[in-house]
Parts: sequence; C-alpha cells; structure tokens
Amino acid sequence: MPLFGKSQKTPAELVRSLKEAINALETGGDRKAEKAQEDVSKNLVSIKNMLYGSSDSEPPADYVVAQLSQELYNSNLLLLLIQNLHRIDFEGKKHVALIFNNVLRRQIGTRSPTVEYICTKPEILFTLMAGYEDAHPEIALNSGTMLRECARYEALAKIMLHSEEFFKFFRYVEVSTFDIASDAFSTFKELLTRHKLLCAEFLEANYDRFFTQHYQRLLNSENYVTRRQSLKLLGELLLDRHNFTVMTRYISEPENLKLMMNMLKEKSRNIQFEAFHVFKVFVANPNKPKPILDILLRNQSKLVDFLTNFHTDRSEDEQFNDEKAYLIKQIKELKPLPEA
Amino acid sequence: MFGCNPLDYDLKVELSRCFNGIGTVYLAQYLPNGQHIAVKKYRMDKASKEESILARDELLIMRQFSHPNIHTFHTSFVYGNELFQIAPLMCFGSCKDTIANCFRAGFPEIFVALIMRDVLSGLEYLHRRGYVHRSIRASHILLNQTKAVLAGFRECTSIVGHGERIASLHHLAPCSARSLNWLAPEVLEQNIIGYTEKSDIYSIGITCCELANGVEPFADAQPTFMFTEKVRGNVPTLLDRSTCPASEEMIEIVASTDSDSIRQAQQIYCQRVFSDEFHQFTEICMEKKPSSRWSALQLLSHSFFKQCRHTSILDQLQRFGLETKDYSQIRDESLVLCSDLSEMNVHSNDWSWDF
Repeated sequence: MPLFGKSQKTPAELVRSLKEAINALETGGDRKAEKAQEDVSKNLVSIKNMLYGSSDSEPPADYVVAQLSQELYNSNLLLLLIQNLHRIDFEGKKHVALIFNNVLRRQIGTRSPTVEYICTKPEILFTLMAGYEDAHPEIALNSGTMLRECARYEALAKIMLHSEEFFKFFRYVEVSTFDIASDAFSTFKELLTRHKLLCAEFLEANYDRFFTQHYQRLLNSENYVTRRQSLKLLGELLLDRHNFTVMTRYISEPENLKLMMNMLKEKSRNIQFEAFHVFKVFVANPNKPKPILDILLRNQSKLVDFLTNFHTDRSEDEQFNDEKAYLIKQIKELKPLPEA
Repeated sequence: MFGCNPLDYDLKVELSRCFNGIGTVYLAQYLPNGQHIAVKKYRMDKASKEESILARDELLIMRQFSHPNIHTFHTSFVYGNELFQIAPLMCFGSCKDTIANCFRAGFPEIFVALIMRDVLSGLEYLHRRGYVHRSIRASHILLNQTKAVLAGFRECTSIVGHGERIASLHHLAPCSARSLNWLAPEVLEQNIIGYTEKSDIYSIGITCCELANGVEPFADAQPTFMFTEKVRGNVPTLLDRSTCPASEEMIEIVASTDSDSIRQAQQIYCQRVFSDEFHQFTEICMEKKPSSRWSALQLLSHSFFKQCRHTSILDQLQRFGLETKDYSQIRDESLVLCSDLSEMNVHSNDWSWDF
C-alpha cells in the first residue's frame, strides 16, 4: 500500500464496487441515487485509468488488464453497464465506451477473449443496437461507438447482421435528429461493408427483404442526406466484386433501372452523379434481360442527348468522361433482341 | 426542448457565412418558447462528399463535450436540402468578428485575459479527455455577453482510437491549409515524432497575438517564411511600445502603405503597454519544444490571469460600451424575399422518361 495518496483498489474490488453502485443506481431513491452516481463515476474513472494508464503514469501492466477483464466477464458487468447506460451521467457514459472498446481489443495470441465472451452473451450486442431507439437519445452516440468497434470483429458482425434487430437500422437511419441518424448510418454502413464475404452472403440470402422492402425506401426518402448517403452506399455495394451475384440480380430488375434514371435527372447534382455510377452498371451489363433492354431502347435518343449534356463541366475527371463516352456509345448501338 | 420542425424557427437576420460558403448563420427565434438562438444552415446539396463528412463529424464530436466554455448545439435536423444546426446564440460572433467590428488594433489586454481564461478552461477539458482541437484561432472563439466559448471542431481529433491511446499524431487535419499560420512548428514539420495536444498550446500563443494585435502573426508573410521562422524558434510578439519600435519591418510596411487603418493601428501599438505577464505568457505558449510549453491546466494558474479577479467579460463589455440590442426589434425583410425566391426554383425537369 502506498504511503501517500489513495490506496489502489484491486481489479476485483473495483468491479465489485462498481457493480454495487450500478445496482444502487437502478433501484435507489433520489438521495441514494446521487451517492450511487458519484460512486459509479469514481469507479469508472479508476477502471478507465487502469486500462489506458493516466497520461502521467506508466502504461498498465498486462496482468492487471487480464485480471480486470476476467472480473468483468465473471461479474457480467459489461451487460449491466450497457443496460444502465442511460442512468449513468454524461462523462460516465463516455468512460463506459472507453472501457468497453479497450477490453474488446484484448488479445491472447490469436484469440480475442472478449469477442469470444460477447459471442456467448449476444444480448450485449442487441442492447447496444437498441441504444438507437427513441427512448434514450442521450445514449445513442455512445452505443454507436461501441457497436462500430464490435463490427470490426467478424464473429460479432455476423451475430448483428443475422439478427432481427439489424432491420431496425432502416428506421434508425431516418430518425429526425441528424446526429443520431448519421451515427446510425455509419454503423449500418460498417456492418454492410467491413467483412466482404459475410456481407455478400447476407445480402444474397436476404435480397428481397433488404433491397425491395427496405432499401428502396431509403432511396426515396424525403430527407436529402439519407437519399444521398444511401445512393452512394448502394453504388459501393453493387460495384464491390464480392457482391457480384447481388449486383446481377439488382440490374436485372426494371424497377431499379427506372429509379436510377429518375435520380439521374434529380435537381441535386450530387445525387445525379451518384446515380450515374449505379446507372452505368445497367448499361454495361452484357446480358441485359428483355425488360431492361426495352426501357433503354424506348429512351434511346433521350438518353444519348441527356448523357451528352450530363455534367459537362467535369472535364478534369478522366475516368468519368471515359465512362460517359462508353455509355453513350453502348446506348447508341443498342438493338432490339431478335424475335424468338 | 428544441424540436425538429423548421417552421418553428423564425429566421431574423443573417449573421455570417462559413464553411466555404456552404454554411450560413442566422439570428432566429424559436417560436414555441420565444427564445433567441442561432440557426446554422448548411446547403448539403452544395457540399462535396468530403465536406458532408466534415460537417457530420463536427456535430458528432461536439456531442462528446459538455463544458460551459465549449460551444454546443441543441439539436440538428435535415429539411429539404439543408442541414439545420440549432445552437445557443453567441451574440458578438467570433472574436475575429469582434476585432473587425470594435477593436481594429486588437482587444485590450484585460479582454484577452478574460477570453483566454475561458478558452483555456474549455481546452483543459478537451485535453484531459484526450482530444486535440488543432485549429484554435480567433475565428473559432465565440463571444456573448458573459463568456467566450471554443468552437470550430471540424479538425478536432481524439488521441484514443479503437480502444487504445495513441502516443502522438502525425497527419495534418483535413482542411488545415487555412490555419497554417496558427499551427505549431512540430505540426508543420510533419516529421516522425509527430505532435500532441501541446500543439494546441502553441496555437493559443498565436491566438493571443491575434487577439491583442488585431491581426494574426504572419498574416502577410509567405508560408515558407512563416515555416522557417517557427522552426528556428523565432516567436511572434505582442505589439506594444516595447516590441513595436524595434521592428523595422513594421515601419517599412507602414511606410509603404496608404491605408489609414494600418497607420492608426501602428500608432496605437507604439503607445500602449502590455504587462510583462502577458508577454511572458505568450512566450511560454510558443516555446519551440512542446514539452517546455505549459499545459492548459498550468497556464490557468499563470499570473497573467490575476487581472481577471475583480472583473468579468460583462463588466468589460459595458466599460467599452458594447451593449447588445433588443433582438425582437431586428428583422431583415429581404431574408423572407430571398427564401421565397429560392422556393420558386425554375423547374427545368418537367420532362420524363418513357417507361
């Protein structure tokens, strides 16, 4: 025990007293809750400093971190913290996220013990995802930072993608508060793009529900930012070679082509430009199904005129101009399929 | 408390433009409770991909802070093509605006001390939580009747990433080109050692000069000159009787100019005297070696702030006759006209595809 200054609590003591304080916060009356809040903050700061090392002290010793993590798993404290996040004060919420994200990245050789632990306790992930619900807007962004760290691990991303909760993101990304909606969109995007094979598999298996039922709505959103972000993400998803099967299916559906053609002539130039990058895939497809070909043929001359005058001021963007020239050439040369 | 319905916000007058012309700040009244607030509107349809990300990240990072000297916002929402950010009204605008409006030759020393004390307590909060602001300058310090707040978080970053503390930063902030004059030598050098939160302290020093002189150091200099000066450890100074006559450059500049305002400023510089504490304070901030610079917390106990003891920003504003107006009387009628005109957008898209 040090002669001067406060004595250091051991990891086990810290975890125990934090757990007690959280329980008091959950159940206590006003006076009691105030005291509990204080205890929660104090213990969170101590744990955070133990993990990160305070700026003037040495980085933490491995055995302390190991001990602390073990205590956190055994006591089920991570879930308890997340479930009570809305009860913890402003700075405390951020400390919870810092602690969570640090423990999450812990490695022993090639193993990630915290990731393995969360796999056995998926309600941790589902509770975090529910952080975007309207009930407690003050925890949305904290939950978001933890979710995005989780999404970096394939095993955790898989649990989230394949859960019923995932489809709630289509609602979260459209909530009226911009900062929460855009945080939810970042998480949504991370889940859909981080682990290529996992995502491709998911999109193939859930094509109808994902694209036809839900994504369509984002593309038609009243909200300019939602429309632009989701259009851009659509382009990224379709142009990723892992998603070839999904792309092939998407560009064979006439409704999708119609939507992109309408977006090409939207008022906002940024939307037009993003739509161009999806539209080009329909045209470049060497095996266009008849309904797609028919639409392109019906609009052949309109499309050629339109594209010729499309974003002519982007003269320095070589790739764009090459692609545009290629599309115009392709459309000019379109011929109806020979009658069978 | 503040809702997401744009019709509840009565825009009264345009206050300023920002963010490459994408953002406009208005004085507005929130009709449901009559409170006056600032509405910042971003034209998202004019923002590039990078700019939309910066605008988003600034709001997200501001949500991480809760401190009286750090600018905040009540809510944000999208309506049509515009992003609305509803924020407390900082009625004097930025310190740069206040210089332009009221103190052409710079703020009086007592004002700088009061402003800096506020800014440093905000900065201490940021640093303690592992954030580096990276673009401290007069235009990012906002002022109202009672306090100064730190704003401009587009370049702010955290030294904790993915659950780990990073020893030092290396990359320049995404749009730091405009802020070069304020940046610390180790940031500009972009060497392998990188930089830490102490780079903000250097910017505090430069900002002290900017507030006191009315113009930032190196304002007219070539970037290469500014860079070599900083790397050599030559620090800019507060312009007063002790520093100004010695500077031959200034005399040359003044002789070669026809501008009255520069001549006037020069006269003020030669006559006034800043305290030794003030001179010493800015020098400590701009020590070449980052580890020799004081931390924000240490600076708060510097004797420069002794003069703040029996006064406040409110006192000083009254002393200099800077009163605020009755907002309810302010209204720019042309604003309504402008918004009507923009609604009347010509529809060139009245044709359709044949499906």
